[in-house]
Amino acid sequence: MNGVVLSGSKIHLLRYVRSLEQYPRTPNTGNNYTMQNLLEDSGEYLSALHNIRSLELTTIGIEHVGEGGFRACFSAFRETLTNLSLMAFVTSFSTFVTLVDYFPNITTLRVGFFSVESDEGPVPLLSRPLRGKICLRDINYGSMEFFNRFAKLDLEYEELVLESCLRTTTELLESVLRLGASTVKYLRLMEGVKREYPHGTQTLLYTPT
Amino acid sequence: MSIRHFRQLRELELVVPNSTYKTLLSSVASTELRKIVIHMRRVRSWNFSLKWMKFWAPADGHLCGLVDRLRAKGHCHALEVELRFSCIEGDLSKVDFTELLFLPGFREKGVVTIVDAKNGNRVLHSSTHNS
Repeated sequence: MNGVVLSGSKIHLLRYVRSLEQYPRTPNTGNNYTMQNLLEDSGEYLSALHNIRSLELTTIGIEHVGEGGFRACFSAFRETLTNLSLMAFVTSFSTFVTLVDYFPNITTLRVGFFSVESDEGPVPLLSRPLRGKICLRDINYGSMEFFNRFAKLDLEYEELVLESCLRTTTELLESVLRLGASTVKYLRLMEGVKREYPHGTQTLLYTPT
Repeated sequence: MSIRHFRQLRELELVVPNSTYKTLLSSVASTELRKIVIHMRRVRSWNFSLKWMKFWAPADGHLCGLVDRLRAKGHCHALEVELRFSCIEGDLSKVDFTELLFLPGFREKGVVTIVDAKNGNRVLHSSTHNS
């Protein structure tokens, strides 16, 4: 974002921005890009984005920065954010919970292609139930422990969407189906189960004859 | 694998064919269910779809069984099954769906809608259910 807005006199225009997608500064930096990098790169402008509705963080390591760290980055649009998308990220479960809980008005949470590190501290309690819609994309077997822990939180999702899986197993699908089962009204499973074979994974398809 | 705990479920969306749809349908227990959306993938053309009768016949039975089971539990809504096709070849709007009788048993119990997934247009809406 550096260089996009050069003049301080024009920074007020950022209040009209509704959607922000963050990508690494340079390709192939992978998850070496961190929250600290984000703050250093964009902190000045992040604080001017008062009306962001949608935030997408992609290919980022979300390190344990606590609520104070998230406040430093996202306080300008904490109340206005309704859509949070986290893709290709690495974090601990407690940090994920802290981040999601930081935004009180999220109606759509989309997560995908992530890996979870061991926790550095106790899992924080949610300040309120998580509601609205949750979308899962490109999840794999390694995500199962994450979903099992996630399902133990106070979830009141109305809509659960499984957009895609990298490798779906019955166990993984079962763990996904535990997310807010008692409150979900709209269940969208856009991916089937694949059976594990000795020499790889094969989608179980009905084959017409 | 089961979705019997989804007691408030109103809409279920699935992609077929895969190995899970029968299991999921047989475990639906919500008396709030209004709609099932079924995405058909890998449909090359309507001529090709005739080969899928081996799929449609049991699917009809599964859906009829679902309606009967839910009604026994107090389900009182007209259940709609929306079939979403995306044909690689051909134009769905030119197909006479009154001749291609999908889910004949279920049509006596609920509503069948066919939607062209390419553009979202509804190309068939049966309303012969007796709810």
